Amino acid sequence: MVQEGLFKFHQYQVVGRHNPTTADPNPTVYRMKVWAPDAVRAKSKFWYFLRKLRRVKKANGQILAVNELFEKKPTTSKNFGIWVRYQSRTGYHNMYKEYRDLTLNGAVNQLYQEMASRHRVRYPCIQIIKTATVPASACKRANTQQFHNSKIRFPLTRKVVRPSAPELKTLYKAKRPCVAMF
Amino acid sequence: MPFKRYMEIGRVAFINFGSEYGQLVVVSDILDQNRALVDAPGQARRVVNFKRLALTDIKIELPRMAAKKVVVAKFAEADVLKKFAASAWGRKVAKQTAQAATTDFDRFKAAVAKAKKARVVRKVLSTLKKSAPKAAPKKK
Repeated sequence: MVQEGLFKFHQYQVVGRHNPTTADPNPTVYRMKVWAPDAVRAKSKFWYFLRKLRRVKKANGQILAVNELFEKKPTTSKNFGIWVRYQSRTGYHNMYKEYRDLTLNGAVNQLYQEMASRHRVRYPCIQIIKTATVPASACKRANTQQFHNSKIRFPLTRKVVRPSAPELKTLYKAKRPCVAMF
Repeated sequence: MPFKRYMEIGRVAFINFGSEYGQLVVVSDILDQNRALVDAPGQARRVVNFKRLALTDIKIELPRMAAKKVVVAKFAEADVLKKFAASAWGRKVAKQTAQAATTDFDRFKAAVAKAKKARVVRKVLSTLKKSAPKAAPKKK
């Protein structure tokens, strides 16, 4: 299965509807954009959300299409705003998070990673309400705004001392590491 | 002890870890506090972590997220590869890559050449020693 990049979660567009019945031979078709590790789990997520919105479930519905969505310009940096609804140990909360990344998939993967590390919230408990590419002027978080500087310049204060390949690693070294960058 | 090499747009860096070890890239944009968007002529524009980048002294004038044409032109204009190869760091890297590429036959040839040269030097030294006056041997 060809997927975009080495991401853990991919964006899928899932299109489905209730089975046509004699009462309603042309049911409304719904389309959802979901994040899932693969197309199979994307379809499952689709039914999960659609069940909450309409009176339809997998047993009496049909999926019309599942397509992976790819980034239009995966080599330009963008600011992504993501609106999330998540379940914590005590209840449901809404959150708005901003990420700087090349692709929406990359930003969403960062989101899942950050939610897990900062709030101990895992994938099943996160619902992505909305995502958007935010122009630099509309960004809210200082952490993303600090990179909106065309003359950005900072030193790397610490030198990473490591062998250029894991095979070259040795247990003992002749000298203590020098971490100074200047 | 102020810093001399800054992470900035246009800074040339050397990738010092991973499958792309040894490549020279220029920073096209800073993505966040850990990652940079890098570019180079002949390579795809991609994200590299700061941990894999070793900053060089070379800095070129580049607009943010410059087009490939611009990057190629600026690289040629500033002669980045030649400047790096002329630097002490560049010469060391060239020596390392040359040594890593030698075959056993090359090493044999080098050993033979070294032995031959040593033989010639020793021969001349021994004739000099014999012809030196015995009455005044100089203690070196």
